[in-house]
Amino acid sequence: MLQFVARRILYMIPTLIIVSIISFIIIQLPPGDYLTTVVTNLRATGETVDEATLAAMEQRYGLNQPIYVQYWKWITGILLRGDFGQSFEWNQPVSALIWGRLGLTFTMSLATLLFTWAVAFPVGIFSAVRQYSIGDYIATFIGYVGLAVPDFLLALILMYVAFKVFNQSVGGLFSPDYVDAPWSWSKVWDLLKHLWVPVLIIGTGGTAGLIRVMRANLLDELHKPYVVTARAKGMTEARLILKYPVRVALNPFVSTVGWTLPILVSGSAVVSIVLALPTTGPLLLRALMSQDMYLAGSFIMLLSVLTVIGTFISDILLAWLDPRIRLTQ
Amino acid sequence: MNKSDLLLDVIDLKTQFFTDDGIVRAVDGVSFQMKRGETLCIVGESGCGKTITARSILQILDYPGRVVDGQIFFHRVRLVDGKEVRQIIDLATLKTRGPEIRDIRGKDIAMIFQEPMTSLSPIHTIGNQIMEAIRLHLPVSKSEARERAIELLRRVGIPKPAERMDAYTFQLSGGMRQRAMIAMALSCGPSLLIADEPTTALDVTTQAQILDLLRELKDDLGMSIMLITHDLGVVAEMADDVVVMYLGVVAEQGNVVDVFHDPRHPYTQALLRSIPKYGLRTAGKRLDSIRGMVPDPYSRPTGCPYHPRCDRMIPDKCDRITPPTIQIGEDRVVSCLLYDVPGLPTRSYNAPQPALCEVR
Ligand SMILES: Nc1ncnc2c1ncn2[C@@H]1O[C@H](COP(=O)(O)OP(=O)(O)O)[C@@H](O)[C@H]1O
Ligand SMILES: [Mg+2]
Repeated sequence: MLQFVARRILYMIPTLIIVSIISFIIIQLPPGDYLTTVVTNLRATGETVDEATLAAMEQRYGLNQPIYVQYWKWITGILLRGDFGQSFEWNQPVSALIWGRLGLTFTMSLATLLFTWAVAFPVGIFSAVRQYSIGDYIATFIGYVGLAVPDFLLALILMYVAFKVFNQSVGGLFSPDYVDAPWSWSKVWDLLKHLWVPVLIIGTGGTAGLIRVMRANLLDELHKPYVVTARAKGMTEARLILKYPVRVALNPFVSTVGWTLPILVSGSAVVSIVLALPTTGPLLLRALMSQDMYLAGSFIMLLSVLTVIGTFISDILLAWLDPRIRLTQ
Repeated sequence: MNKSDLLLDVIDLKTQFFTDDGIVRAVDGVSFQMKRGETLCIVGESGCGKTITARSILQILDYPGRVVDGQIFFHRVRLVDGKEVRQIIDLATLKTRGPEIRDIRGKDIAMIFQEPMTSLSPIHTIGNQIMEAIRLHLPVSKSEARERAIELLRRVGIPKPAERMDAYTFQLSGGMRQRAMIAMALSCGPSLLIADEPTTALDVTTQAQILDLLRELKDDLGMSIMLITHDLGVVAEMADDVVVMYLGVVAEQGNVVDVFHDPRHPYTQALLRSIPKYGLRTAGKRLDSIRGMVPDPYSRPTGCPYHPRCDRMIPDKCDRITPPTIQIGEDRVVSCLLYDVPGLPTRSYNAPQPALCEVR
């Protein structure tokens, strides 16, 4: 197993290098270099451009040097100093902008993932075991509705209902009192009180999808001979289903963890905008629209890294769950 | 037959599948008896309801299958506090998921299957699966169960049993897998082992080894074996009694020597004609295969289900009348209208025959 993990980590390295190169290319895509943008920008606001500042910047990003030197400066800056470059739109270091949002996004995504699994597992198992029962039909119907209704619509509906019926405003992740407050237990509690709305909205589509996946996987397994064997041993139905077919049906489930992670991070942009959430989605969208390339490129790279890490985690989980993968490499 | 020798008494068993396309009458009035300590072979072409008969006994039918009629009397003998407790249980009346039938599954009646690869979990070690079978029915600790499992693996001829405990199915050969499966089935000392085509998926050498093992275990442990097969060679080698099944009914039952020497049902006769004969020259003579095919389950012939393929079909009779079960000797029945004629001389079923399986 250890060997397996080590090999996987080794495989990750070239992938990560390629990801960083692509992100760097994206940053370089808009015409003109970074300095030109800064200068135009500053001129537009009527400020004078200090020659000394320009020279310092040129030095920092190696702009007068070949492209691979620029890349090298950029990537070592990130790795050694956590310096992702400057966002000209916000006139702040990218790192100052993204970490807080990334943390909240991650919290929200994790909560959504847990919600999705907590619902999709039992419902999917039930749907498969009681195939074509009324419960199965209801779950299937709700699932399709969940898949079909766009998230932003659900967000609007939920905001309306919350406001009309419960007289509660559901935008944002914090109450106004807590937005700028330092972290405390009451702030965490406030976060939890707001979190369920986006979790519910973002989670429905994924939950509905996972219910279908779980149901289909399990239906494939339920009539396998090893289930009959377990039954012939005298096990109770509930125990044998959880121990054997559900365990096997978990494999395709786990292999989806890899791509759920980045989808949860980026796919929630629309909902985040509707609900005014301080997460990464809206910021990424804005950065792309205003060609704030260091910010956008950094986001894209972090999302890609998350995908790679997610795939890594799902590979490890898969190997841990399934001896056929672990032992027959 | 001595009453206390009876192990299993199946009476008019009917099992049907209620599918969207109609009702499949997989088992349609099967009756047979099984004696304690014997090997009973159930033989017939594929699709004749052998597997479903076996599964009906344990009540492990897949949805939408159900035992709809009949009785399955299991004569259970258990040692309780050193005393023999005898009980006759009608398995057909037990709830399929109830505690009574679960108590019998794996403990009194165990089952092994055709495909050991797919019949064992691909992601659990064989040790895990055997220990689970032990601990389901016996009040032993984990380490005691482990010891017992290792002992079982040794008993079925698996080398280095302690190491093999942690092996997964894909790490074992076909023969070893089937041995592990047998070890699991034996784990609680069943009085009846149902083996559904246990050697069909194996190569010939391994097949012979597994059959030898089964025979040896049966004698050592004093259990009975219900062996399901489509291979008359296996029947000749293993059986005490044989039940010939065709399309969900029993065509013929009797002692294996009697049935092989003097097959009565035209289906049995055709089956015997279709195998190479031991000790007889077959050069120049091609083997007969049975005319036609097993009809599809939705279009069962009326009357005798075998009549469309039968060489001795009586027109206007076999296609209309369902043949009764005719007792033609002690422990010997046939279900064929040829023998339903009053005044027809009943042949002595035990008449000495010149050679085994002589072509009639
Ligand atoms: N799950 C099922 N649904 C519908 N029909 C079935 C099912 N399982 C078995 N059958 C039918 O029952 C009949 C007997 O099958 P089986 O007992 O498996 O035959 P075999 O003698 O080869 O073991 C077949 O006609 C088969 O089509
Ligand atoms: Mg079969």
